[in-house]
Parts: sequence; C-alpha cells; structure tokens
Amino acid sequence: MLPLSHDCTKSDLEEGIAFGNHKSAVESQSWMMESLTKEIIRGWQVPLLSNNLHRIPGALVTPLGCARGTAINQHGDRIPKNRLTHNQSMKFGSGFSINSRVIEAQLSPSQCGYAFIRFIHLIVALRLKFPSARILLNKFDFKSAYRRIHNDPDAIAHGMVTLGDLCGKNIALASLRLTFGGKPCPSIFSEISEATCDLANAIARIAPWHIRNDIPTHATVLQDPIYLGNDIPFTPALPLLVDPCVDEHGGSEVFIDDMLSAFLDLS
Amino acid sequence: MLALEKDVAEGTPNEILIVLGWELNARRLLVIFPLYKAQDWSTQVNQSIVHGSHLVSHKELDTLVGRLQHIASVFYPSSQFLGRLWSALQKAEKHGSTRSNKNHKHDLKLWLSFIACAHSGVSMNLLTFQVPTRFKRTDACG
Repeated sequence: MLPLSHDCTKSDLEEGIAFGNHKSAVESQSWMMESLTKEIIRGWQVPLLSNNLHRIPGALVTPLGCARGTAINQHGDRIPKNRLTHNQSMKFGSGFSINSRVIEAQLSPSQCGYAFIRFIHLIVALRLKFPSARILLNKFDFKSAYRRIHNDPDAIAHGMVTLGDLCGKNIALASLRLTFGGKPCPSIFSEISEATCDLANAIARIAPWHIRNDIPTHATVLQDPIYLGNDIPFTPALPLLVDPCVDEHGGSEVFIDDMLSAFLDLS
Repeated sequence: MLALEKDVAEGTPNEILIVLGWELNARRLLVIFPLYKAQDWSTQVNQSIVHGSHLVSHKELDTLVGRLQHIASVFYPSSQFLGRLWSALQKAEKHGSTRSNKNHKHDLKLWLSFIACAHSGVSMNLLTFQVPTRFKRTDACG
C-alpha cells in the first residue's frame, strides 16, 4: 500500500471512530451483532478496546455496512440474505481511502472478469463438437470463502471497525480474514480458486480415472440430473473463431468463489 | 469447504443454471435475464420515467445505471443508449443529484424494451467470437 503520513493516519483514525458505521449496519443492528459475535467465536475477528486503537501503528477504522441481497436454499428458492461489508473506499480528511492506496501493480491479475464469456464459449464449443449430446451445467461455491484466508498484518491494522453504535460498548474489531470491500481481496482469493479450477480440469482428464470407483466425497449430496423435455430441440452452435480445446470431459471456469462446470451427459 | 445447502440446489447437473445473475439454457443456447429481476428492474425504470424532471439522487441513479450496465454487458446493442445516463450520473456524483431531462426519459423508455428482449433470451452464438462470414476492407481516406 502507498504510505500515509503519521498525522493523516491519526486524523483519519479519529474521524473514522467518530463516524461509526453506515446507516444500513445500524438499521440491521441485531443481525450485525449476531454475525460479528459468530466471527469472534470462530477467530475471524479479534475484539479490541476502541479507545486504545491509536496505540497500534497504522491503525485505521472503516465503516461497516450491511448489503441486502438474496441467497439460494436447498430447494433452489431465493431467500433474503444480509452481507456484512467493510467500506474501505470511504475517504476521511486525508482524501485517501484504504482502497485508493492499494498498489494494483503488485496484485496478481485476476481472470474472473472474463469467466462468464469463457463459460459461454465452453458451452458453444461443446455443442459444436457434440451437436446431439445434452450439455449439463452445475455450480458450487466455497463456503465462507473470504473467511478462510488470512489477512495481511498491515491490512488488518488498516481495516478495523468500531461497534460503539451497534452495541453501545467501547469495542473495535480487527479482521483476521479477507474483508468484503477490500480492493485486493478478489485478486488474493482468485489466486487460490483459479488454481483449484485448473486442478479440477486436470483431474477430470487423468487417465485411468473411473468415476464409478473413485467417487468424489460430495457426490452423495448431488441429485439426479434435471433434463428439459425431449420436445425442445438442440440449438446448433455456429463455428468459433477461437478454439477452447474442448473434449468429452467438458470443463470448469471460476468467478472468484463460484466454480462453474459444463459437461456432456454420458448417461 | 463446500456450501452444501447451495450445492444441493446448484450442484445438481441441470440444463438450465443461473450464473452471475443470468439464466443459461444449454439446450437452446440462450442467456436469459431472469423474470424476477426483469420485473423488479422494469418497475424501477418505470418509476424513473414517471418522476419526469424531478431531481434524481446520485445513489438512486447509481443503482439504476449499474443495473442497466449489467444488462448491457450481455445485451450489447443496448450499451449505445447508456451514454446520456452515464453523463447524468457523473453530474449527480459532482452535485449529489441531477435533474433528468426528456432525452433520459426517451432512453429509459427504450430500456424497458431492452429489458424485455434480455428476458426473452440472447443467443449464446451472438456472444461468442465467430468465424466471420463476410470480410470488408475500408480505407479511412476514402
């Protein structure tokens, strides 16, 4: 990260503590406290006294927010879901947010921006090569993805939060895991997930690998494939200018923590 | 490591799957904008049209333009009609809000039909790099 002068750090810390958290977080106070308590118990956040934060070199405070979205349950229904966010793009008196000080050139380039279009190419290439075969799709994601990766010590000091307006106590939290809102976090997580995706593609092609004998650990969770009616014809694919090198094993792509797969129905 | 509840729903092999907010149909090679989003977002666009020349806050416009940009990322022709809304967003960012004009209203009306088109599905063949069927070479100097 680009350095910030001692005076600016001090003033930004004071302003951050005075600002507290976003309205969205305060409005969802009970959910926020429940979620943060769980994080403390699991060792993802460390509680500190907020009036002693100035004793930590480089300490800065960012506001917490609560993003309201939807998640999917085991029946495939969309259900409301809150997400805890750290607003590390917030600028205080110094005029520099934590995210604006991140040196992008030092981050690994993340390929996730092209994941969707690569996945579309994979499906079209499969149809082109196997015009009369059913193509099946599925997706899985890493549970609590960002919470499984240790945060950088400097990033921990720069991304602390206070809970004064949430619990009325003099408590701050230091995040030991990646934060939702930290600029480097998608790149850091992609280093792991992209390697996992490459490995998944490689394992599928290891010969001899018999899926009926070497059953993946989560195979029992999966249900039988869901097919569309036989009256729906296979739409033909048009020739591609690029060659995604598809074979009968299909392939996987990854978007940060979402692993997408397209493969042929060999049943 | 796996989110098992989600895995039951999304991990089951299916010819239809929602990926990054788009429904992919591997049988018909279609990318479909889901119905629940199409209804919700059309309502927001309609409200913006009805408000007419009222002041629009930066936050409100930012959400709207972000949503429309999501559609434009797959339904390419529609991105031509985001320019004036982007300019309005820049103004709103500077002043906290902006006043929408007749052109914005016309663009938003057009966007209602783009949302409907996206919901009816975009062919995956249109989203891939294809072998050109015709070549044309031009010279800028005429």
